[in-house]
Amino acid sequence: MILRRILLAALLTAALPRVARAQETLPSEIVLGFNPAENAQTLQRSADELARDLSDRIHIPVRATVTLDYTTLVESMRSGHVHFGWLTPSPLVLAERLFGVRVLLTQVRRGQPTYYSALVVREDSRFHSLEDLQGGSIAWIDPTSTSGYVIPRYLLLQRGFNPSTFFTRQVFAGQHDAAVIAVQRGQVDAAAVWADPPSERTGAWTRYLANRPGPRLRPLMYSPPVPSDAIATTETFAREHPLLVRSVSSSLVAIGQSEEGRAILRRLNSTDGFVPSDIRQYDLVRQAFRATRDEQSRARSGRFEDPRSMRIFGLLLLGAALLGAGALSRRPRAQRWSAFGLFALALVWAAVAARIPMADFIKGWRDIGQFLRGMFPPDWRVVAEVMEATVLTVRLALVGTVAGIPLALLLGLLSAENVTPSGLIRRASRFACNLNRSIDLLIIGLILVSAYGPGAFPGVGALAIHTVGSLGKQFYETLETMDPGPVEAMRSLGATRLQVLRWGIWPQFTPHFVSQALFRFELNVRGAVVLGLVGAQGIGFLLQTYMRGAEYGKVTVVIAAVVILVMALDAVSSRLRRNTA
Amino acid sequence: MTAAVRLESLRKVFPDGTVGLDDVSLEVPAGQFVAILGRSGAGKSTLLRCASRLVEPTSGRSFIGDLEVTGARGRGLARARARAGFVFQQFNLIRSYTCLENVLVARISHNGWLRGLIGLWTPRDHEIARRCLDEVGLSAKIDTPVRSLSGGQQQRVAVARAFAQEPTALFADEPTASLDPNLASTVLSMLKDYGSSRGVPVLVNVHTIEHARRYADRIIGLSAGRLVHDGPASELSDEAVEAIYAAPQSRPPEDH
Ligand SMILES: Nc1ncnc2c1ncn2[C@@H]1O[C@H](COP(=O)(O)OP(=O)(O)OP(=O)(O)O)[C@@H](O)[C@H]1O
Ligand SMILES: [Mg+2]
Repeated sequence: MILRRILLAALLTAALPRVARAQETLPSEIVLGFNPAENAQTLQRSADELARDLSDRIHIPVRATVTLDYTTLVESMRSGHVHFGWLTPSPLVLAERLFGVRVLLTQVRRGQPTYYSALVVREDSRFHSLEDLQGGSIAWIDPTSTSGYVIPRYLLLQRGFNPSTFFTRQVFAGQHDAAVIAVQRGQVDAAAVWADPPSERTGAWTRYLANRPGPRLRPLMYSPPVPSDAIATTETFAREHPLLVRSVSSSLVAIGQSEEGRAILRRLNSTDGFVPSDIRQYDLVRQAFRATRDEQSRARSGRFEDPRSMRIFGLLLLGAALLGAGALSRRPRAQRWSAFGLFALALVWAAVAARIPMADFIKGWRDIGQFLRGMFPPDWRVVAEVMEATVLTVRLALVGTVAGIPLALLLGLLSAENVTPSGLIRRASRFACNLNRSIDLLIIGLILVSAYGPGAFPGVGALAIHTVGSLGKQFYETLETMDPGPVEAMRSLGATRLQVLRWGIWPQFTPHFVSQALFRFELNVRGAVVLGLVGAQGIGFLLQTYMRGAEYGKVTVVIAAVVILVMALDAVSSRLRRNTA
Repeated sequence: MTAAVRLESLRKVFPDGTVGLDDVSLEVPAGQFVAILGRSGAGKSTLLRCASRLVEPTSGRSFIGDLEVTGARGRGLARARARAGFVFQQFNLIRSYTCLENVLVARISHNGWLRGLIGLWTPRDHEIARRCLDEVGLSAKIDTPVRSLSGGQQQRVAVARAFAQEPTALFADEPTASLDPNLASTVLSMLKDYGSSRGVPVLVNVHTIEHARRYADRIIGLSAGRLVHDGPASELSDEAVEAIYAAPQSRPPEDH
């Protein structure tokens, strides 16, 4: 039987070049696209080996490319840069929705073309059934993760739970190891991760915690078998190159059956081989994908139709428009507006550019065009969700700013020559300010996210820390420009040092203090947006989520929200500042 | 009777080597109004600032009443400074605060530290502050922020503040320099009335000899940090004025 297949494959491949050239115009090279994995370097090496092997069999140059993330792989297939993609199930379904794909093969691991998803909790926890988790917290992997998001959410829905209300806190851990570590540390109650067959009770939690001391984890709930990764091509490519596609397909099967081929595949995510397959194998994932997407949209649009939130949104819009119109009347203001436009554009650009390998930069412009087309029409169903995230972002910025101000003020006072007589203290506190300032907000954010896991706290913490240094410096520079007259008057009245500060300096400083704190808050709101991109909660996080899911219509709504937010803030805070000055 | 203000060989050399004050000794009895004359840079401001230790004298001693200002430290120094009321050329008011608030802070040395810090003034403080503002003719402006007052009104608030401090001595450093001549007279006569009615010595830097002659009991002249004239105002001759305002001769070397 095996012999027959090999024979068939050999026949096909031998016949291909001539036959194919007669009917099909063959591409000068074909490109295999791979998802990133834990180690991109070794992945690239193994992928190259596979490409060489395949090339030897089909007599066409084959190149392997490892993309930065799922979305890039899917988009590269859509734009024709990648002809065959090694796709995990959710991106496969996403690709199917976006442009139609032809599934050729399914990956075999541990002798099976399937794997599982499990919800895991700590061994010593009080959670023994799914119901116990109600009101708890969970770490998903990311919104395109099959076993770490799409499937487990679908299962919850099927059991009649709405995941958004079932858990009081949801975070995206990004990687399976981070998710299980978060559970082990007690940062979240549960995590959704990949698993081996239920009978073995092993999976991400045994693999990644094997060498980590600390509490063990146990599975709480298993999914039905989920089909493994797929080798797929676009519908268009399959129609135009039927023979080539068939040849690649059978060659890959053959590679899995040869001794050396198998050795290569082992290094590609422990693959044993491939079996022929089609999109129907992925029905579970398709349903789950549809259900979780629709669940979100339905929940959101339902809430949006709630007359109160409609009214609030209307008022917000109106307020922003009014403030904006008032602000527009002044010339320098108009310049600032264009700066915000640039800021918004830069945000889009940054989000897009970050996913495109530099070498493909020029080619990437076409993709940006596609992205921009995808942005319209905007998907207004997410308005409520975006508003919620916007409010959260503002709250993060507010708490971060307020938390940073006391220390900033203290450092400012200790650094100011007209307040602190001791040069040593002044120098030390200036040094503290500058040291703090020299570490970028995003870097602080990244450090905190890696220490505390994604969520609101790293965002607030990063903003607070950043506020201390930058505001502290601004404070002492302003303090030193204060009129020494009232200070001298207070000294002549017999005031002590602190009293001189209170009456001689503070009244002069208050308006500056208010306006600088307000401006810092404004900057921190923008900072909070960007912090979302490294995993802090809020609107930036939503932006990233939509980008990853290639939901560009929703991205439009986020960008609109950011623009409105920043403009409204500018109008409000410049008015407030004018009033205090 | 001990002098109300007594300076003993006050000397001030600034860090850059400038001699601001060169061995000045002076005794001013209670209630006397002293005008200090001198060219720009003669050391008039330095004299008043060293006397109340807003500037640290290099050597010499300063007494206000029976209290030695030089040599006091910490709280003691604050208390000593509180004995000298000070009126500045630039008013040095808290511009965003009202007249009343500006005058109330003068009560800082009459209250405990914490009260003074948070501005918890007593009813008596309020009473005094209102009376002082009344004395300078600003009862109507009590709740007006200082920044919206005219220069002359601001200087009157500053004068009221010095009064409310209930000082043992009153120093004024060119209080009239930024005022028109009419207002200048008003302010000077207020200072003079206050001094004579309460027996408080008043030392004023002025740059108009006419004013000095009109209001002062006694006129002293400074040149290059030295006391070059001292006599009753009525006896101030034109020659003396010329001497005070003459360019200082190059000083003889220190070690002659
Ligand atoms: N902080 C300082 N550092 C160095 N030199 C100073 C300082 N303050 C004053 N001086 C110098 O001391 C001398 C006396 O200055 P002072 O201000 O007492 O003069 P003044 O008689 O008040 O002059 P004016 O009429 O211009 O106010 C001047 O030469 C001045 O330049
Ligand atoms: Mg002067």
